[in-house]
Amino acid sequence: VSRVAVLKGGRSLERQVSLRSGANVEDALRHLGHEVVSIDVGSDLISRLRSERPDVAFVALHGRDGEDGTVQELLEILGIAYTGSGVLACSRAIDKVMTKHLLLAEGIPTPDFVAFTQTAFRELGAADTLPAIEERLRFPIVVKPSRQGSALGIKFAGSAADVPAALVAAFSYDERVLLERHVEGRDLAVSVLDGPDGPRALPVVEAVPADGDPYDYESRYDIGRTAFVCPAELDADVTARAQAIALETYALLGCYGFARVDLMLAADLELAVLEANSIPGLTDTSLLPQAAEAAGIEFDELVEQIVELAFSRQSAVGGRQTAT
Amino acid sequence: VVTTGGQQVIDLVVKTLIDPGDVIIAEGPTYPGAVPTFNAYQADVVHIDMDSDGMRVDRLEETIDQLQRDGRKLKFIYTVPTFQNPGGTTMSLERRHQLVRIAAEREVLVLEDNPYGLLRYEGEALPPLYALDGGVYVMYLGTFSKILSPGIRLGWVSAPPPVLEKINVGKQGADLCTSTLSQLMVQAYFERGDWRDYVRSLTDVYRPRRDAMLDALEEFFPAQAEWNRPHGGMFVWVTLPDFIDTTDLLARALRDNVAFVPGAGAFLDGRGRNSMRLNFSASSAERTREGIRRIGKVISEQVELYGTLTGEMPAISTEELEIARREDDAEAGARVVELRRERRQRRRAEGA
Repeated sequence: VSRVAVLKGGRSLERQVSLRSGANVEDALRHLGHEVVSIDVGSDLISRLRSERPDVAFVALHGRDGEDGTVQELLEILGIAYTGSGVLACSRAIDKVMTKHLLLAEGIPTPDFVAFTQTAFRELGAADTLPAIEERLRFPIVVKPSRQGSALGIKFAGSAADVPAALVAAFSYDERVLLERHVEGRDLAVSVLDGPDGPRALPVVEAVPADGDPYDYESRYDIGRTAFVCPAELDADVTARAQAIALETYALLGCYGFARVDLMLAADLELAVLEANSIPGLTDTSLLPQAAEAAGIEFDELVEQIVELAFSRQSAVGGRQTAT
Repeated sequence: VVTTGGQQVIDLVVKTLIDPGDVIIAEGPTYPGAVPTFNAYQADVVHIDMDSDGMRVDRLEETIDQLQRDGRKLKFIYTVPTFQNPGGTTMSLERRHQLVRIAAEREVLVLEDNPYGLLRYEGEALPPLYALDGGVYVMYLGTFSKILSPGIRLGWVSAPPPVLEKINVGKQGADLCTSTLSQLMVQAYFERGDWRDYVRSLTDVYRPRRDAMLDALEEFFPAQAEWNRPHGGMFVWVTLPDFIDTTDLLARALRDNVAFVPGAGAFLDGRGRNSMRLNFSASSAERTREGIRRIGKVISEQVELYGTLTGEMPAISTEELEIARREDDAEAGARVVELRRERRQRRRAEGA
């Protein structure tokens, strides 16, 4: 039995999702007999952690602060064991541009893209390159903020006339945005779960949007708006390739504990990685819990395993090594 | 029937009258708080636009005709005629008469939602639709939330007897009766007889806040933004150029610790994405001014970025950048805007 601080909520735009993830995790921890300290992350985070003195922190935060390495950095400083990936993997995974560059360098397929900061347009006249970019990526082009989860700020530009407004929208969320080639195909997610024998890929989940519904923020979290199929109905070799790519991505980013890798399966059966999530959703409709269940791992068991992994990292690494 | 807040009236009326697919006519934009209720009962909402005189009642008959031709079942018209939420507009007397006349001729019920009517900061009070119609087709929703206390959760509905009977059945099913303790408190309060003084003190507090917001909008919002001047209530409705999505803009504004209600939540037909509702009653004049300054800055940033992206506006020059870096200096900001305007005009002149 451990004293587990569940970090949830916070001020990110994904607060509501995080509150639901956190509540689910708390229920599981109580079933497992752990002592739960529920913390809605705010300016009193450090004092709460210092006074509550938990054995381990379960980071059930999504988006800015919780998923980008900030809270992980604070937990490192306080010397509190925590679940999931460390600072470096979080910083990489939250940043789609960084992730895609790493994928490219490693030879893992990802849709062609171009990324810019706002400064490039405001001060360096990058707008003049848009026609060339549009020609290279071809329409429709997906415009995304680099560091923002839950599909917020993602727009489809069907023609050159749509691109400026899509960029303005994406820049509302982050200083850096990417224009990405749209891959027509099936939406797959492969969750990875660490274990005593190393990380393993869970069964593939396919997200099937309801008729005409774009795969947007709303439909992702509203029960019934998107149908999820797990295990996805795929040829065995496609499943194997998707799982192998997910594991490679997981290792490349340096993830720990668990993560989810989102991929597109094109009509020609080519796979491409869109992004990785270092703290994927743990709500009732979330993909990681669904995938775990398909692998015979109930939610309580999943939570227990994630907590145990937090302890084994603490004892193995014992804090970050720095040059002196 | 006394209800648990005015919000319950909307729920009870919709529950009583609407079968899935039935039509409600509402202003566009309509009260965002009614939208989830309309959705929950699967009402089909048809919006009628507003202008400075409120709902375009002149378009009402053709809308009703069209619905009839399409074989759609209109159940009632939902309106906030006075200091509308979120639009801030007030229906003119002429249109009120017109609406009541059409309701009688076409035998259509009207739900008049009037939470803000007493919060008037200028001009003459207008009669409610209910008074003009005598309660034959108009159902009236009142609430103590805005003139006494929102926390006391007390509202009421007056309606034609056959409808009221059904509402009463719905009310019993929902929560049997409204807190009698709250009702006794409100009764005692109104028996004291000085409630109008309290409402007057509220209008004295809100009027300067409204003025502060309107002044700040004038000062800080870019020329491409449009808004109205409400004579009462709590809200100003702002419409931005259509390349700005206020749901996304809110994400940016929140980073500067300021919020507003994106317009998309006030429509059921996908419109309103470039609009926002601003509230002036909740914060002091100083805070309102600061909030508008921050929102204005974010909008200006996006307007400028859009201009740069479309080639309408050249990328910022080194000289302008120098000035812009002195961010605290309000005059510097104004100079950059001026410089850029000049450059744009020059470019246009050259182009022509």
